[in-house]
Amino acid sequence: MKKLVILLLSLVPALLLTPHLLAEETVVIEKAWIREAPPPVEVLAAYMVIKNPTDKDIILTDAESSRFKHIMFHQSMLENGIVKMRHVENIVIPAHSSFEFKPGSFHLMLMGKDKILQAGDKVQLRLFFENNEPVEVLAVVKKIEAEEE
Amino acid sequence: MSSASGKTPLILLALAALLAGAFLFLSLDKPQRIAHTQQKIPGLLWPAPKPLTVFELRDQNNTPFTLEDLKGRWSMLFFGYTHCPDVCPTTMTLLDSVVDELKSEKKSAPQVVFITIDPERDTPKHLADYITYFNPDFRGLSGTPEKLSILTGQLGILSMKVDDQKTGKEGYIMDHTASIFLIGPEARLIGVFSPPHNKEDIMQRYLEMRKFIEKQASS
Ligand SMILES: [Cu+2]
Repeated sequence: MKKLVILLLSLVPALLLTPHLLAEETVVIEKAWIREAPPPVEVLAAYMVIKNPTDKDIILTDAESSRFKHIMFHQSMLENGIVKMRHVENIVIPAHSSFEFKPGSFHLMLMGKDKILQAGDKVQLRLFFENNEPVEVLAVVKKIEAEEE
Repeated sequence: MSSASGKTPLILLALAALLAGAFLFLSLDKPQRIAHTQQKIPGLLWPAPKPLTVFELRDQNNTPFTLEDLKGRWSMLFFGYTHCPDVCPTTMTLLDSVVDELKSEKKSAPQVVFITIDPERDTPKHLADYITYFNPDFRGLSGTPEKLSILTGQLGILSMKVDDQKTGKEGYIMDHTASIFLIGPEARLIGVFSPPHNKEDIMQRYLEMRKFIEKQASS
């Protein structure tokens, strides 16, 4: 019994020194939002930051929402003054780093909305990862400001 | 035969040297001249602003929009499509804030004209709600591909449907020129703002170009 207590006590400092092992050693999604679009527009874009605090690369493979027919990953890019948008199969979030979906760059392309979304609405998205549990995220619809591009 | 073939390389060599010299002269000379006249305002097409020629399109209210609508005022033209979820709405929002800020500074703002490169889906009816969302004063133009190409051809607008099975037929993507074109009151192309766009930068260059052209006109 005494031995067990000592063993447990000796573990305490180790646990205190590595709190992230207990709490945050998983994918974290921050700043998820959807750009409000004019009413007739059928496709919307969602943006967010995905943090990977783990020691392994994490691969985002798919996303879905009951509010949209399907979701894809897209990248907007500029080439010689021409704006292009391309479908991207996977998003790799390297170990101990983060990945940002942002205007003019990578975005989640939300296609086939069920009804008009307005600033303030919240949309549940589910993200699927390779070798990781799916993550639910609540994205807020908001208007983009000119400074945000 | 042997003497002729012996001479040929020499002649060719001399010709090549001459061409190379001429090329070098031209290539050195031209950028310097351009740099000299344009160094004041990037994107300004001076001394040869391009006069636009007649075209006929319709705006979101089905009102005709022709070359005449570009005369007697300054205009900013942007080409895009409403099914573009990322870059086009960003640019439209930016143009709205440019106009807004110019007005709040009591400066004369340009008319903003959005022209679709996707007439298949962007009918005037569809454009109406789209344009109003950003700014009810904006004009949103569409027309048949032939009628659109009369204007896009003059400005060198490139656009193409992307062959992407995954995105699907109804959700097809378009690649397109993302520049903003500044048209002066004589319906001439005065300046081109290349992407990526920045509000302050566009405002400043617009005001500078405007001032410059007005000075030319009065002198
Ligand atoms: Cu997209």
